[in-house]
Amino acid sequence: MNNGTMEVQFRHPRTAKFLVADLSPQCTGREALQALMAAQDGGEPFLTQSDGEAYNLIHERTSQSITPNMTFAQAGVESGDIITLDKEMRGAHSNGANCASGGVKLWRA
Amino acid sequence: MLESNNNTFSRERLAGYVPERINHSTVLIAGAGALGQNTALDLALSGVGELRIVDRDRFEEHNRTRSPAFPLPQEQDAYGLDKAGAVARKLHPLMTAPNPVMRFANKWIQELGDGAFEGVTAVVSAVDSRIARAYLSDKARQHGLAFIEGGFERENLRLTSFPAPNGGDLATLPCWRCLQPNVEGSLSCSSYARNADAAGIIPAIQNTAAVLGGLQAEAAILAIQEELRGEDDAKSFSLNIRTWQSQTVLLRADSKCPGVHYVSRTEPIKLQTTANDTVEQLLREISEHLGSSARLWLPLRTYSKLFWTAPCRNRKCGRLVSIRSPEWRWLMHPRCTKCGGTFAPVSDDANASTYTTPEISLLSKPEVLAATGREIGFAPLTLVGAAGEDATTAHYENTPPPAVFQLPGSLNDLFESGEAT
Repeated sequence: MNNGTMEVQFRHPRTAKFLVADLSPQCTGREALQALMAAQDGGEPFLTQSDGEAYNLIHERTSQSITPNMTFAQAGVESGDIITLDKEMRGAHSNGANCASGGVKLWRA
Repeated sequence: MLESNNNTFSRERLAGYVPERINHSTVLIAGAGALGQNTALDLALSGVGELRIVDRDRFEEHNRTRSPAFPLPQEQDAYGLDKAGAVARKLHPLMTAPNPVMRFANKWIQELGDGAFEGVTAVVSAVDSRIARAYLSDKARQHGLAFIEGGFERENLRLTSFPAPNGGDLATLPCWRCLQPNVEGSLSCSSYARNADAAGIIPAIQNTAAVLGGLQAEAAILAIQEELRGEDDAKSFSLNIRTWQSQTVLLRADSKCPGVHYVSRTEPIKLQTTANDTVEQLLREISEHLGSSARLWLPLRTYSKLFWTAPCRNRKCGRLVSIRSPEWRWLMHPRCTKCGGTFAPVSDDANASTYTTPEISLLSKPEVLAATGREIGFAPLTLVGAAGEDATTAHYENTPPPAVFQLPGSLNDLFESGEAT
């Protein structure tokens, strides 16, 4: 930990990649996600977010969720901890009638 | 339909089920796609007494590979291809409760209002719309019900279970929206669909839906028989059905969660004004009860704010559109008919301007007062929150409204019977 920051490892939701970041314990879940969207990994964004996609943060050591407005200190995160990025999943996959109208058929599961 | 007898539930009894309780329970299932069908099938076989199935979608051929209730060609004339109706009629004969009741609505869940939750033990979400999931989460909490949410993609699934609030500090009890506070930024199913298509994702398989359906159904049984549940915590469970890798996560509340964090315990005052009467009639009756001029609250959290006119969201268009609906309906596809939406542009009205409101009173626009309750989103049995002129609380606070009224009606006004003919 340097200057009150702590080193946290973020696990990518789909690959085996980790991103190591120095974070303030006062950083919230939302701020961390925003930072991860902006972070570069080998010239590529570490995390992309298509419209309709959402991620949750999971504190691996305690198996507890970190909510958007919860600080890492409140979540009990310590230096060296792993935070998994968990992609939201949806219930059914509609044929489009729930989403579009006016005869526009948009996608099929 | 086979008649149940003493032997019907003998194995379930040994597994800890109390059929007499399960037979008298009601489960609301929003979404009758792959997940909803698998969950409904398991609950029908498990002896749940009443199932309410809601979905506005229609079956297509490609749904057959993960639809245990897909109507056979010879059934399609009788059952139709609307998912809710067909699923209800297919599964009703499989219900093992002694006097099973199957209801369905080929509608958006929000159209049904609070009546859909009346007498329900557990609310199961099997929908893909985030705004519908937010609505279900809020309504389940407001009515003090267990909420069970599921999602899957390819071989991955996630079950999230929120037990019915059992006392304690409701502000610190997590809800689905604690994790997903912003549903607005990604409301557009169309964009999601385009992205999914562009990525070439084929996200749904029966095996994942079946496993998740079983988990959702058992979570519903645990809501009915709370003593079978280990603890009261809200949890999520993720599983990859190919690698068997799994994870259980304890969920926590978010201090700024926009969702409902109260249970409405106020006994509603029954109204005589129906959903088909005008808003003005409704306001006058409620004002009489309150003894002062009433303001109706249209909850922001469930996207029930009234959208009367607003500009088409297509940036190249921007025409003023006549909406006359709750916000959620507009947000599903906020475009005018000329841009592929369902809402017609306002024609030749030089005085027309954007008009949205979270409250309605007798001082509201005359055309709003002349609209029916149904038009502004009040179905039969809906609970209407209201305040008098002197109320100090504002509608956007996370508290119950000062007074709650209920429109008259019955479940038959909301649902059709799913009994197979």
